[in-house]
Amino acid sequence: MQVLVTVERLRKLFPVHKGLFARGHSFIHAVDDVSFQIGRGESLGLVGESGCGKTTTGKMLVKLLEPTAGHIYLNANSTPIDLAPLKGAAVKQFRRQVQMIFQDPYESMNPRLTIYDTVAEPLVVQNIGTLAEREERVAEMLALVGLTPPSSFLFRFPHELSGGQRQRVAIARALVVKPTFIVADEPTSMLDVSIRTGVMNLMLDLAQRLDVTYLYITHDLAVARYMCHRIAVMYLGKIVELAETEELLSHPQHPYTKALLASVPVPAPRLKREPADIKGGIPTPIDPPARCRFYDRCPLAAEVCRTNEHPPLDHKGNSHYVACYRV
Amino acid sequence: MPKRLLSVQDLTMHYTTRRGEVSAVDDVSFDLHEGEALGLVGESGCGKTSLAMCLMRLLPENARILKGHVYLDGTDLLPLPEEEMRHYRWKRIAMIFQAAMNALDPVYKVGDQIIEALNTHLESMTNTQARERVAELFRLVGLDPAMMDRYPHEYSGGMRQRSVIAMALSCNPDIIIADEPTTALDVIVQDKLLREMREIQKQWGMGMIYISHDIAVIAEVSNRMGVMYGGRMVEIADTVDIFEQPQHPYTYALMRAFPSVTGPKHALTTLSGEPPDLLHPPPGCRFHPRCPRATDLCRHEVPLLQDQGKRHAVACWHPMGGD
Repeated sequence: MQVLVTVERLRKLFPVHKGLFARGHSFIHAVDDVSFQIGRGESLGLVGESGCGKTTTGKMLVKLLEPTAGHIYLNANSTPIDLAPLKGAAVKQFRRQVQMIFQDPYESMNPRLTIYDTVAEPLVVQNIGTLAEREERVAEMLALVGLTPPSSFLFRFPHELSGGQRQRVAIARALVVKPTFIVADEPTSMLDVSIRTGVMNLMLDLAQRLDVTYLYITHDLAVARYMCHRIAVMYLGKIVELAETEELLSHPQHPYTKALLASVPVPAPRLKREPADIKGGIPTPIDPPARCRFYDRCPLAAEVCRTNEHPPLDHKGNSHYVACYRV
Repeated sequence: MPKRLLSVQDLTMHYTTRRGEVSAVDDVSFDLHEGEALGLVGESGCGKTSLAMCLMRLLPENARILKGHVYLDGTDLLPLPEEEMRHYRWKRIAMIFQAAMNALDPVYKVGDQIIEALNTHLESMTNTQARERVAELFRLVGLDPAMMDRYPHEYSGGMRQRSVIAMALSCNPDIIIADEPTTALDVIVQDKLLREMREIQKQWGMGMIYISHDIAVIAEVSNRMGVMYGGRMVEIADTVDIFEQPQHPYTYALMRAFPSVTGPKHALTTLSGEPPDLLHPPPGCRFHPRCPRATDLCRHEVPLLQDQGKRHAVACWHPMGGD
């Protein structure tokens, strides 16, 4: 498979202000030495609990945040482009290729813009098409995301739409410039079940029809299973496990992935699940010790985990990568 | 048959808004027995939280209960004057709110807030006794008793939710209503907390009402469950029966709309349309505009909740049972 996105040793540290006269600096290690690739047409799920760095990773991939270190390459055309040095007009050019869909359809739209203006905005910014062409394109996009007939939506405002309809507008806005890569950050987590399924099916359908690649960020393993070809599990700024979806769910290897999977409630009332094997709560991401990030909570923790640095993400066969000394 | 703790009959409640009357809870009836965990499942705006607020009599000013009864040990709570309601609220029937952050006052120590609740409702307790009781409650919900002298902002999300549970338990209620108690929490913390709540419920033999939008959570915590749609109870039965033989087309659709991490992967089915606008609820069955089985009858006549046997009741003119 052709690689579309390559992330190399990506890192993002946020300084913590300890007070005006405090000496030294502390850092939140939001994303710490993360590497992965996404194939063209693939959907990669980035899964983890709140604060694990999944959204920060997503924002760096669309250049809404600058990495502290590391590289991101986008291979949309013949030559891969490095995101880091992009400035000004080049960033604008880049945004034709890469778009983001946000979690909250109530906050990600300007309440004063009509649906037409909302969806047409990227075209205006990118200076694509004439007015007539834009109108046609917007109508086409609205029909594509299931807002039909488009004419009955064009001149309405976001507050007149339901959450599900707004998220469809957000998808139309992301797709209107015909991007190759979309970062979707929990796009359905605010939606009700009966609405959510429709939006998920729409995104799957559009990925196929328009040949779009997704980085799909979610806290919900069941949603990731439904949406993604592969899943990367993040814990405290690190990818701890990465594998094809069914492989990861049926043969989880990292003790954190196992705990996460064992904690997901199952809609089968006769089933009695065993409690997850994990201790305590998530430790602070501020200046974490060099050892394995999962050490304090891990049922397998041993001397090797404490005295060495955080384990590398190693290939364990079957395209299954695990960062653990003990598996 | 265990003792009946709560009996809700024909409960109907409207909110008066500038845009008109919102029919939030419509003709809802159900019973809750000792030791029973009833799950109420439904999407936002289906009336599940409004229903809970009716039971607690904690309604906002624009809410009006039009008819119905809420019997607790033979006493109808709805017509009680506020002073008498205080003998029931928190002491007999307590609630765990969705947003634990808002249920705690940020400027008081968490332990003191529970002691205040104890002093208000259970008189004749010395401060030492009260502190001992809070320490006991903290241990019960898995909090370090030393945390009682800390402020809410020093607690993590999971700890806050635990302290709110301790507060709800503080007056030994017979019934606890938990409104999305773990929705804001991460999945590992959620699982631990739900296990502990189930354990406490079993030990104490309380009646419990769990409210959630997540059928998987309801599957695990409840032994009986009710499905709400558009302000109405559309199906109620033993949890196992609802999962194995859903009768209402909405329940069936809900079951098919949730992805799962286990079992074979299947395509999720989508319901067309949107939940009803309760300012102008559709006539007849409120689900009919989205229902694949709807007929003329459904468009005009309201189906009542009818027992199909095995304590399985459904409000539908064309239940799924026959096929």
